[in-house]
Amino acid sequence: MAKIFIDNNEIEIIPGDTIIKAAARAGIEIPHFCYHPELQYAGSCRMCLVEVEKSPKLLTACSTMATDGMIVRTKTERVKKAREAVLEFLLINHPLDCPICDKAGECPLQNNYYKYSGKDSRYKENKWQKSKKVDLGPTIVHDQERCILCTRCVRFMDAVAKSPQLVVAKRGHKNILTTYPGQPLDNPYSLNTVDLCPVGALTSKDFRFKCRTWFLKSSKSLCAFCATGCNTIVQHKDNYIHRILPDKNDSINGSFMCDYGRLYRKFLHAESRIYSPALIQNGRFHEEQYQKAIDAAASKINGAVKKDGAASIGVIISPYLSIEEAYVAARWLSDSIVTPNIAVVNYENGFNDFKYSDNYLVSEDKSPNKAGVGEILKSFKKSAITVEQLAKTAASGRLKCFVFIGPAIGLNEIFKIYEADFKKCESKIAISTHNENFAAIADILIPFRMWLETSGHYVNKKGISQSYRPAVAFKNNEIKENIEILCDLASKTGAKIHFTSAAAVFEQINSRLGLYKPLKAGVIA
Amino acid sequence: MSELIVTKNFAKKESHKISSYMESGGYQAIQKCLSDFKPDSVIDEVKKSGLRGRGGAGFPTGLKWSFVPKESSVPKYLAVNGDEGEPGTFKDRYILEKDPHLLLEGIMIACYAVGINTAYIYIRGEYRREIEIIEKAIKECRDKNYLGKNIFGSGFSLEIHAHSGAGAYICGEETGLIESLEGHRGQPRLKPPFPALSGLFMGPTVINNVETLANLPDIIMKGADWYLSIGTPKNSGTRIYAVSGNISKPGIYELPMGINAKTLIYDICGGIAGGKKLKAVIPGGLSAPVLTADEIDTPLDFDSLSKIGSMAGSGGVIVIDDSQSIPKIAARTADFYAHESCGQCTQCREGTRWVSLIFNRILNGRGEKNDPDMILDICSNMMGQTICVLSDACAMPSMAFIKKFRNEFDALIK
Repeated sequence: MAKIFIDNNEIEIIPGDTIIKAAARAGIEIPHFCYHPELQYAGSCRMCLVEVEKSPKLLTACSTMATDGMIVRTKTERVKKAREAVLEFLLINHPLDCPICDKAGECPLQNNYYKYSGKDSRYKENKWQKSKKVDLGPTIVHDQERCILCTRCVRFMDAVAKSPQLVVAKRGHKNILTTYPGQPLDNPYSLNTVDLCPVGALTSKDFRFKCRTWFLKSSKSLCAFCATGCNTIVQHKDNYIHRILPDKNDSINGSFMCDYGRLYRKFLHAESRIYSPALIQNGRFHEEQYQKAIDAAASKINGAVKKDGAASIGVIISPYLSIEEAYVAARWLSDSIVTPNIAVVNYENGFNDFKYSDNYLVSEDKSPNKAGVGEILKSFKKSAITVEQLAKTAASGRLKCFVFIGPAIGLNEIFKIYEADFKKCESKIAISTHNENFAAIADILIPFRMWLETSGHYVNKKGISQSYRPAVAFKNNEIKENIEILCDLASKTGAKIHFTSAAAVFEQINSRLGLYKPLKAGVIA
Repeated sequence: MSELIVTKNFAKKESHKISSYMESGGYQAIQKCLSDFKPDSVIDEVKKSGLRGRGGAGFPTGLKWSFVPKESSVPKYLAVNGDEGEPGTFKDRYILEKDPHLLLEGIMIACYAVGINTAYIYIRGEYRREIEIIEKAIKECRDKNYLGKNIFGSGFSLEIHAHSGAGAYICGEETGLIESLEGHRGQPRLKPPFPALSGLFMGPTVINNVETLANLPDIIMKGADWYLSIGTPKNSGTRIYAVSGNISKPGIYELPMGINAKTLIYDICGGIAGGKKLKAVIPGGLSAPVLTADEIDTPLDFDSLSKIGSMAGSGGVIVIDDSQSIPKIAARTADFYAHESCGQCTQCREGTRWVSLIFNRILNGRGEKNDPDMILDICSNMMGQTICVLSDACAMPSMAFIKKFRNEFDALIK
């Protein structure tokens, strides 16, 4: 096996290894700015210079291939001086406005300076001034003075987003990062450049000046924007999500995610969120205790079944339900309310402003768990119809009661077409997240948690099941978990289903249906 | 006057025309190559001649060619460096203007030797007239089928294109030149891969200076041994010295390589203008560390100058008389490099400007005691640390100015 020696540590190398890659595997840190493991190296910041035996000059660890027997030193006086020099050079024209910079606290320039130099600057001249707030497009504001011209963002746009919208213009110290004249940076992956930026030059319009990074708590989670299932890190403070970042998962999203997924947090904090159960009579909204709302819903359902049979009940299931939630619903629809009118919402072509898709990370299907919900229903031999088909039944007057289960996200367009039909139902029950469309016409409203507020599993379009746990708490702790709500309703309408956690449901899905093997605790996908 | 190789036709009437060039025995060398030489033997002959690159680094030309793989699945290219941006250098300009066909024949020989069918002449953007001349010369060759398919009925095909730069010094750096030729922002590439393996359009590429190529026809016609007899053993042939500054007779002088600087200045160029005294000489273009008047008794060749801590560079000799202020020259020098840095490497982007600011501050009477030493330290941080040598090209002369003329800087600092 070929190996190299870095600071006397023997490290096995694999073909294609550069010094920095081999070092990273062995846990040896070589400071860098322009290098990023997911991008082609540029070798221009010169921060990763190391001493290599037999080479008269220092070499960039990011671009120098590791060859068998190579002897590398990263702690010599020469390397130390070179690093201090690069840091001093980088900072002479850097504005040092860390106190108002969003990157402070997670800034490689700041961190490397404290770790590898800490020396006072000898620069006595005026700093070269550039623009501090250039509007690059819908998502990003650029601070040219903070920019250290590492070109990570340029290389990301060229090679990963495949949309070369960023360039370096001018030359020397006048260099600026910019877009082509009159062209915005509007690619749906643009916000990855903010993460890639090793300083606070590229700032997200959604996040800038909102929260100091050190106050943020991080929770691992999933993105529910589409059927890709990107892994995410949800960053929040006081139960408010400030930022969603991609988490590395090479079998799903690599190191990146799309802008839609990042900004999806807005749905969670939307004003139309439902936090309390309510009964709506004659257009008047009465907040109600949880148990009373469940009882009211059950009595409506039981009444309709008694009068017109189970087929008079229509159930609309969202592909945002976890497999656990779908399982409880499917058992209910098998054990007591055996209706053929089960519709699953279709997000195949997106909704509202979210119709974009590509061959990279954004799927055509804008729901997180169509595959999982479908498979659960199938294992209960339930075949789902579409919302359109259910609307026809409603229009005919044969549907006496509908029960909508899941987030009322992205349904306004389709709902508008069939609103009149669904309004014909005598009872309208929504166990939902937002007071919109189906929920907005409901006469019984029961709050439902969104995926970031509860636990479960989603199955992405490739069939990979991934678990998620609450990143933030649901604002009303008197409301039971999604699983318990569904169990309560089922129990009150003739089924005997009792679970207290998604984990218990998952166990049963696995033992009874043989689906979705559990993963090691704490592991996502 | 000694033997002339590159400038021998300059005095002739309409020397830039093919008719004039043919009258002087033009295009015989390429025909000799095509009929009598295998490509490898051309390379061997050039290796034997000891010809070294005239652009600045003095790298052996034949050796450079031999790095290019014989067989290549992608086209190989010759990029001719006529960017001539080094301040104090104006030799290639005259070749382009006075004897473009000598260059074209040199290109043909190089291309035949390396197995190249496409060559680009990258000409400094400011050289508008020279581009027109070279384009006309290329057309004259095409009309005669000296260029194009099956040239001279030999089965060898060659196209030559002239390409104008856009006024950036950095595009004279060979990989910066390649980027610019490809239509990209002119900034040097990280090496490896070296251009000989993957250069222009990802093809194996030779980059030769205009003057270097202009030496080839005579090397082929008269032989390597003849060439070796001129100059000194390791610095064979002639060199065009472009002499400027405070000198009585500025201009270009083709002389055997290794001519003594003192001889060049006093005997050939008529000494210092206006009867003043010599203070310093920049011997090889602006990036070459300055020599004091005491140091000029030296041969102007690659090895001798490198031995005394300077370099032969591009052959631009800048003469400085004792009325000139070295701090002023140092500031202007650093200004130039700060203006020309492409800005991709940290040390160069930031360092060139910083050094220029401090020099200017000293010049304006706001220098501090420690400033000269600080410049020396900043320059040491800029040397040998970057992708290309522009950073070094700023640091080296800056350090030399301070080290050799420290008293002039100290005198400006109160």
